[in-house]
Parts: sequence; structure tokens; C-alpha cells
Amino acid sequence: MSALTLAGLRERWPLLLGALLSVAAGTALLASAMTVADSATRPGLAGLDQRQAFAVRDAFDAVAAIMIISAMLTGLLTVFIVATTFAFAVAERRRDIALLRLLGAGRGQVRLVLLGEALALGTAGSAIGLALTGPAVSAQMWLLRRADFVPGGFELGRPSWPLWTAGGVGVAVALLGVLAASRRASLVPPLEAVRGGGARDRTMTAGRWTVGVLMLLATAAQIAAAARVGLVVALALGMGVALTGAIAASRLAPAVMPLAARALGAPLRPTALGSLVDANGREGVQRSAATAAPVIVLVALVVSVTSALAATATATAVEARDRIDADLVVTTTGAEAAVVAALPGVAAASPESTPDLFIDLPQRTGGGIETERRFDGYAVVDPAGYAALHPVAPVAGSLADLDRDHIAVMERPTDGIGFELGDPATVTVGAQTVPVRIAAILPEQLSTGQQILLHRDLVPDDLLDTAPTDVLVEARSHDDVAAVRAAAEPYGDTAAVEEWITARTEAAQRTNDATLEVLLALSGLYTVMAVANAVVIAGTGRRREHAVARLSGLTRRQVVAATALEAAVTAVTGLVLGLAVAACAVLGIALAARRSVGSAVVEIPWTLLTATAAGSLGLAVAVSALVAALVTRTDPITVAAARE
Amino acid sequence: MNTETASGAVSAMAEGTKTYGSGETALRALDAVSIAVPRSSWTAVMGPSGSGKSTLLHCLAGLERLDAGRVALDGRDITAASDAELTRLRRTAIGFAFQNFNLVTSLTAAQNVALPLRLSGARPARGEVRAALDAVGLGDRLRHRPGQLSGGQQQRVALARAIATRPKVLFADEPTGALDTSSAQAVFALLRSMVEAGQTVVMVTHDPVAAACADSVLFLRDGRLVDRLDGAGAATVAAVLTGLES
Repeated sequence: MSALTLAGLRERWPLLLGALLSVAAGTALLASAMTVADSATRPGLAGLDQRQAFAVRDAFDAVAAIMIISAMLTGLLTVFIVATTFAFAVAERRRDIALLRLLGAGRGQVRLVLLGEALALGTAGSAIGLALTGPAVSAQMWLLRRADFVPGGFELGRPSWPLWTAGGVGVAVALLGVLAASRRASLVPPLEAVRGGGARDRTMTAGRWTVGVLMLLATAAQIAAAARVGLVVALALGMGVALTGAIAASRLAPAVMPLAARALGAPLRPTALGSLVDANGREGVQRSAATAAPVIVLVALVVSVTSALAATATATAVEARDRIDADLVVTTTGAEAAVVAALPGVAAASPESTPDLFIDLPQRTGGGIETERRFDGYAVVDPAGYAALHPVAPVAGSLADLDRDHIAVMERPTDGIGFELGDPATVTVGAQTVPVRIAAILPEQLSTGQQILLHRDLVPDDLLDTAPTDVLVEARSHDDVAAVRAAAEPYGDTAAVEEWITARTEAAQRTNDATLEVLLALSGLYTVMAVANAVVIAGTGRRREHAVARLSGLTRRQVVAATALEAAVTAVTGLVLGLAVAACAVLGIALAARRSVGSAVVEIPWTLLTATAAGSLGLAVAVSALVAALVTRTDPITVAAARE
Repeated sequence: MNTETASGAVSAMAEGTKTYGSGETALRALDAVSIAVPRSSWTAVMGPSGSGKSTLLHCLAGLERLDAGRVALDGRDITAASDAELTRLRRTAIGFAFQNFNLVTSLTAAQNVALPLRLSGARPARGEVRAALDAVGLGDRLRHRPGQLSGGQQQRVALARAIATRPKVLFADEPTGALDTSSAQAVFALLRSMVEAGQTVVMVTHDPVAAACADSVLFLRDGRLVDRLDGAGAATVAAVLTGLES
């Protein structure tokens, strides 16, 4: 039996090389993400004071968080890609399997052969993947450094658990990937070995429908939830919808594919070559669906995640415009704040400073009260000035009640955190810890900047004088704005509010882009590899079909062209389905934005979308043409006459 | 099934009916066909294309199920046999030789011959496999893969496989359909030697010369058994066939 397994591997090497690569790449990426995440959980804090330690820990946490997200993403992609590849590889071998059945192999033996192959491939793939973990970690670290994510003092560990885990996942995923496919394969009737022409499985099985519909429902549920929760969950929403939607779309693709192929093939049909493309597209549904699957997940993921982050940045700007009613912002220190506020032509000013201090804030969670020490996300304000330039009504209490014993906090229902008026907290400035109570609760906001407001009397003047301070300024009239700005010039950097908000949004967008690069660069490459893989597997199984086409009068060039055209139709179908999934994500994000900032924000990354679409289309066409050219090298009569 | 007629038969069908499709496009491939193939005999099945020859063979071998009627193999009723039972039969009692040879292309000639034995859990002796390949004149091609063999050689490997497992019945569908005359003659000689060794051959063919090698020839038309010749020469067989086709 093992000889048979090995012989099978030798025979179908392009098919199995594809499967091997998909396991290896997934394992390597998973192991590397977990290795970096593990290294980020042990920040070196020796000799640091509390605030420095917090900053270091925060930076390490950010690395850990993005690597954990990355690991989850790669994990899910590995499952998706490996399962699709293995299932397809099994489906391509119906004739071999029927022959085994004809020669007396029982159903159990067929499953055993296939599971044996999966075990061999999974183990080999995992081993290769683990060997590639070093380079993958280097690539991951290069991306993180490039995005300025890596804090000083970060040391890469060499923990062994990520290797064991990733290796185990690789093998398990390979086995699980063929489990369903092997069951279907064991039902292949032996008669199929005798009859000419490959009958195919009914591609839309009950299992496929079930998974597809369940994933569709999960996608809808996420969109519905997003509409209630708001944009705080945008990234999770983007990724979640992309993955469940892509699984739904690829599971249901065989049902949609013939329709799509018919629609896309319509303009081609009048030509002889076009009609062949059209017919092949409808005939090889399994093949088309397997090729389209990675295209769907690639497009859905890239567009959804990018648009989620872009929409968050934009919505944060929308929110800032809503919540700031000023003309200018002067970026200065506390010492100059009073001078700026007193300039002629100034109607109202709100100095908002961030001196070094920390706040111990008890938060009501579902399980009780947990005190969190906050080293950021606060501002020291003058309540009257703040209220004048921030047209935001508290959901409870009043900003007028802020004084040296009372603070304001922003509610955070999305994080499951609640506050009540009168809740105690402490503010520590230098060596002095002051007990305070919550006197006002502000509505939740997307920006994480000012979640706690402190009265300026809480902070000694000398500390405030040197603290970084934004002074929001409202001029008496529109005509005074320019004069006030000119007058404020000597005291700091001045900007119109709109410029200031735009600059902040752009800075956020730069961080987003860096995050996206870290998250999507490697997993995107992995998916691109999967596209090429599927095309190669689909292409190498068609040697005989191409030979027959050539014997029917097609030139080699025509066969290659027809195959490339067919790949184009398939890729476009995948793109359309992927975009449909992305559209679901964009819809969810828009609804979430409406919940968060009152208006639906739609950000579509056109450039990236165009590049991804053109890239995957080009890749599918180029690879399929290349494979078709390679498998038609042999004289067609030799191939067609060869018996199996 | 009538046990009287079935008693001497190793493979038999009673009132076998099989229809493909339904309604307008329905095609009756077998229409109340009853046959009994005696042990240690060679039966050829002939008929115009679409007459149901291959369907008859598939149903006798348990590869397809009848809509009505009964099938027996080696004294056992297999009309409604389970997949496991049929699998067991394929390992022990049935061999196949088809026009498209049905070799596993990734395995060598020797591995192909040994495959059914290994699938049934036996560990075939080297000599056994070698002897089977020797018997078909391919003792020097043990390590060749099907791609490195000619059509005639591939068919002989398939027959060696059938020899090695010593099936009671060998079902052959156009076994010489893709072979030149001299390769075909070699195959006929092999089949005859198998019959002489006690095995039974049921062979579908459209070649009167091939059919003339058999002990008896059954003629099918439109799914019905219409004629039968015993020990006829190629010319007689051809004449009957021409009559059926006109």
C-alpha cells in the first residue's frame, strides 16, 4: 500500500508539488508569526521607570497583537488553501482511483491510500515549512522594521512551541483537507475506469451547500453585528467578512460558475475557439472553481482589510470635524497656551495638554471591576474652553463639574467596559497620587486620543508649562482667522483645523498602510502562490484533452490561446465573486461607520484593487498559457494513443 | 433464478434488463437477456454498436446493476451484492482486460501484476509475478512502466495480471481492439491457454476473427439476445453479424 502511495506521488508530481508547497508556505508563515509574537511577549523592562516600561510594553504588545492577527490570518488561509488544493488533487485522480477499485481495492483502502499520501505530503510539507521558518521570520521582521513597529530592545527568541504547533497544524490540515475528498473518492465506481472519458463528481455536494450557506449566514451576521457595534471593530470585520465570505463564495462557486462563465463567454461564443473556451468552462466546473477559489480569497481579503482601515481613518476625521468647532490649532507648550488664548481676535480657546502622569481607572466589565493604569489617552483641559470648542453632549454628568477632584471619561461599550458617575479613580503626577471621581461620561469615539479628561488644576503649573499642548482656537469672526493665525505664529505651529485633521488622518493612514503591509504582504504572496498552484494543477491534468483538441484540427498555438482565454474567464469570475465579498465587507463597514459617526463612510482602494485584479488575471493567464505550452510539447498522437 | 441452468455456469444472467435515461431519451441497453456461461469456456459477445454488449459484460461482472432480472457469479447471486462483497469478488474471482488496458501508469509491469494480490492483502512472491509475466513473454520487462511498453505489451501485462490472480472469470472488452494482428494473435493464444487451465473468458468483440477463437459466440441486437453460434469459423460469424447490422 505504501508503495502505491509513493508511486502515486511520483506520478502526479506537479499536482503534489502544489500541495506540498501550500503546506510548506503555510507552516513557515504560521511558525514565523508565532515566533515573533512569542518574542514580543517578553519585553526587557529592567532599569526602566513605570512610564518608560509602559511605553516599551505597549510597543511590544503592538508587535504581539499584529503577529497574533497575522498568525490567525495565515492559519485560516492555510486551512483554506491546503484543503482546496488537496481536495482538487483528489478530484483530478478519479480515473486512477476507479482503476484501483476495479482491481479489487476496497473503499477503505482507497481512503487509506489518499490519507497516506496526505500524511506523507503533510509531513514533508511541514518539514520543509519548518526549515523555511528562519527566512520567513527574517521577512516578517524586515516588514515590521520597515513599518517602524519594532521597539528598541526587541530580541528575537527561538521558542520551540511555534514550530511544534505550526508543524502539527500543517500535518493536521493536510489530513483534514483530504478527509472529505477521500470519502467522495471512495465512492467512485470502478466502472469509471472502464468507460472512456472522465465522468466527474457532482460538484455541488450537500456538504458544499451546507458549508457555503453557513458561511454566507456568518457573513451576513457579521455585517448585521457591525451595524450595531460600530467602526471600532472595522479591522476584525474586514478580515472576518473576507474570510467567511470567500469560503462561502468558493464553496458555492460551482453553482454560480456555469452562469458566470456563460455570461462572460457570450461574446466569445460566435468564434470556434470561443465556443470551445465556453464549453470547457462549463464542463470543467470543478477545475474552474478550484482556480477561482484563491483569487476570490485574495481579492476579498486585500480589498476588505484595506478599505476597513481606510474607512476607520476617514471616519475618525469625520468624527473630529463633528466634535471640534474651532478655526485654528496651535501646537505649542502649556506655557504659551495662556498667551495664545489671550491674543486679540480670539473668541474661545481650549488648551489640551498631555503632561507625564498616569491614571488608575476602575472599569466595570461583565465580570466585575478591573483597574487599568493609563499612561496615555488622556488630556488635561480647561473645561469651559473645552466645552466651548467641542460640541459634544456628555451622556451623563456635566463637563462643568470637572475640577481638581473630578474627571471625565469616554464610554467604551464596544470593549465591554462601563463607567458610572461617582466611580473613584486616582491620578498620579510625579510622586503625588490624588483621588478623584468621575463627574462626566462622554459618548464613545473612534479616536483613542482623549478618553480621559482632567482638569488643569490637577496638574502643577510647572509641569503643565512644559507639556506638549494643542490649543484649539476660535476666532471672533471669519475675518479675524488670518490675523489670529499670524499673531499665534511666534508661539508654535499653527494650522487651520481642517489641515490639522487632515494631517492627523494622513498620519493614521500611514500607520494603517504599514500595518497592512505587515498583515497582507506575506499572506498575499501565499495566496498568489495558491493561484499559480491551482492553475498548474488544472493545467497538467489536461495533456490528453489538449492532444485530442489538436488532433481535431487545432494548432498548438490555438490550444494555448484557448486555455489562456479559459483561465481569463475563470479568473474574472473569481474576481467578480471576490469583489462581491469585498462589497459585503464595504457594506458592513459603511453601516458600522453610520453607527459610529452618523454617516456611511465608503473607502475603496481603487489602485490596490486594480493592481490585485490585473495581477491575478495576468498571473492566471500567463501560468495557464505556460502550462498548456509545456504539456503540448509532445506530438499529440503519442499522447492521445497512450493508454492508462 | 433457475438453479438448474445456473448449476453448471460460472457466470449467468436471467431476464436481465437495463435501461439508461428515462422518457423520450430512454435507451434499453438490455432487454430480458438470459445467458449461462459454462465453466472453463470462452464466450464471445458480438453485435452492432449500441446493441448492449458492454452493458452485458459490466452487469455480469457486477460493475453495473440491473434494473430487473438476476445475475450470478461463481454460484453466488450478486444481483444486489454490497460494495464490500463485489470488492471481494474483484479480488478473488474476477479479472478484467479492456481495450484501454487499465494499467496504473506510475507502477512498473511487475508492480501492476502484483497490485490486485497486494490489494487483497497477500504478499505475492517474486517468482509468482515473474512467472505470470514470463507466461505472456514479458519476463524481461519487469521494471518497465506502461509508458515504455507498446500497446500489445501493455495488454499482455494486463493479461499477466489476470493470470497471476487466477480469477475464475476474465471479463474482456475488445482486448485486441487497439492491437495489430500479430499482437492480437498472441493475446488469443494466451486467452486460450487460460481457458485450458480451467479459467473462463467472457469477451466482447466486434472482430469476427477474435470471436472465431471462442467456444461460442452470442449475438445481441437492441439489447436482446438474437443468435448463438458454437465453434463457428470467422466467415460464419461475419455473415451473422452482417445480417444483424443490415
